[in-house]
Amino acid sequence: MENILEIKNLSKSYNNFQLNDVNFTLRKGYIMGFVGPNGAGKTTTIKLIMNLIKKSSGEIKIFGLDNLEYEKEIKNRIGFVYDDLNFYDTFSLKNNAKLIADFYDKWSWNTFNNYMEKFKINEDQKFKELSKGMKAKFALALALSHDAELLIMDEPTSGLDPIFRNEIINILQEYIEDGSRSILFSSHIISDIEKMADYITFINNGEIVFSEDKNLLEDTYRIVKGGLDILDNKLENECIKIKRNKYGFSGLTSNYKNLIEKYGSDIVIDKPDIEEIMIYMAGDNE
Amino acid sequence: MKKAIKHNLLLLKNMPLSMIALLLFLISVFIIQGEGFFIIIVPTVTFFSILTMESFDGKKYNTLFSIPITRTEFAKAKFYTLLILNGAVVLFILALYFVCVHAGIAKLNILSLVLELAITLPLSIFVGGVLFGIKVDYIASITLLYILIANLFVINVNTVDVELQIGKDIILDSLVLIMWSGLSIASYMGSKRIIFNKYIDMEL
Amino acid sequence: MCRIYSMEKDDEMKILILNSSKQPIYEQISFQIKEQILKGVLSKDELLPSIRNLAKELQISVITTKRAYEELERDGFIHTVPGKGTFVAQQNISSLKEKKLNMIKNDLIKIVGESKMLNISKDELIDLIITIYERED
Repeated sequence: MENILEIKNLSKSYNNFQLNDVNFTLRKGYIMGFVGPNGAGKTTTIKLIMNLIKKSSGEIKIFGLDNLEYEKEIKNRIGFVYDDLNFYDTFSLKNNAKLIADFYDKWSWNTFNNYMEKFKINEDQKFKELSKGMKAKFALALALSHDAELLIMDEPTSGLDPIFRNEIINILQEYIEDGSRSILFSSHIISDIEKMADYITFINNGEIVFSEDKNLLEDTYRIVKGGLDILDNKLENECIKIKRNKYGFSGLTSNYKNLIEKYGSDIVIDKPDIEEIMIYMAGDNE
Repeated sequence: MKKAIKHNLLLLKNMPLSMIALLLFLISVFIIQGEGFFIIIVPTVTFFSILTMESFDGKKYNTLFSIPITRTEFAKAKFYTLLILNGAVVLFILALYFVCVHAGIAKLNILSLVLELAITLPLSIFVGGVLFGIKVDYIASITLLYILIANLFVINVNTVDVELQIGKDIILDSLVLIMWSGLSIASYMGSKRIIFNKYIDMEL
Repeated sequence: MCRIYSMEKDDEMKILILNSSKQPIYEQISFQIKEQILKGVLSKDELLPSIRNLAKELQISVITTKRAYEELERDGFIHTVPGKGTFVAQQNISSLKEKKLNMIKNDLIKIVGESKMLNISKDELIDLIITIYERED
């Protein structure tokens, strides 16, 4: 099966927020970074995938199976890490693990203990005694200890120091090394996404802006800059978004080769990083 | 579902000492008060056990509904845990009762015993079910409220001599049986419905 | 920020990536592998690391090494045997040169055509070519 996750025309209506016709696909063996500003719909989408909330319409297939019809079977093969880590505060980590472990067919205490040791977490501590970083490590240890084929992570590295974030990235890259596992993780830490992701899906205001191979993004988009004197409607139409200031303009374009031909030395072309692409696409014209 | 029931029982096992102490205290008080102690003790133990279990699980549903279990299974497991709990408490109290009889503290009264059990089980299941339906945010206030109601109930029940009426009139007896069956079924189905609705419709 | 990753396999293949370079990472990889093949550092039929293994070693995403290998394969520098791995292909250096020469010839035909249209003389064009050659040094 090529596609580990398929989302088709997914919609969810709330009073003051609407997730609209979301479509994207994650292929087996790859990492997808799910990005977007706060409130764009990342967490909502993830909750819909995990059936924590009910969709208004659309289809979600995981491992080729409908996520509602085969819910239990699918969840057996998914490891999850959420931003709000909800475990039993007054219980020890060991007891917390015991309460969860039983539900998974392929749980391995050996693997779990290895991760706990690697992360230097003491399993006898009570969950509420841990720092945010330790809680995240614990959640990660749980997610990685039952041979999950798909990891779903909602802001798994937020609030963590860069050193540990790097450690997590390395662990995750190792996890998918053999090509049989995949990861979907949402994050607003763009540097993590740029480092780790194979595909990037950008969501804004409840709609998917793009879902693309990271290399392709880097090949396609450029920032074009020039003086205000050459900025006309034609040029503006070639750009996805324009920013103006007193001394010139800059615009995001997917058509830079044309622009170079037309405007030659009147413009300069710069390569944006993923963050800049997002900022241009999500922001308003200035 | 078995795993979920095991999960619930594990949660119960971790009942805080304060809660256990409270329960033991209440049980002792009710035993000392004399008659009708099944009717009050079983629902009380059920009440506080469910309260404990639900306060543990409350706000953890993100995690609980992400592990391999369906909402239906989860709800079923809660309901069966409620039944198991009731069964276990009844057996425990029965054992206690027979110990008391053997020690001469209590009188053996089969009719009274059967009547009490007949009322206790549906009542207890109902109490447990209702508790699932309430938001378990205010443990302290719910606890106090319960103790108040329970005490009022005990005071009033003790003054009624129900057993004198049974066995005199077949029609009356049949009516009582039908009523009892109806109420039992209602409390059983009602609790199940409350529990199922709580979890199946839950949006996080 | 500039970070350098290197991977050495049997003291032979070497790949150094610059994050600060304008050149996309997949291009840096394919370029360096191409270079080492042409120079003979990597010999014919030598087994290359899998795209996943290379990605893990260099700590970059799999899609990047995949792209690098795709380009190398498209240009005939490597070939993949399903189930066995990726190997350095037989390099016919002279045929490569011939291919490139053909491409240059076609470009020149275009340039000469346009120059004639603009009335640029043969000598002017040759002077221009000489200037450019010398500038490159």
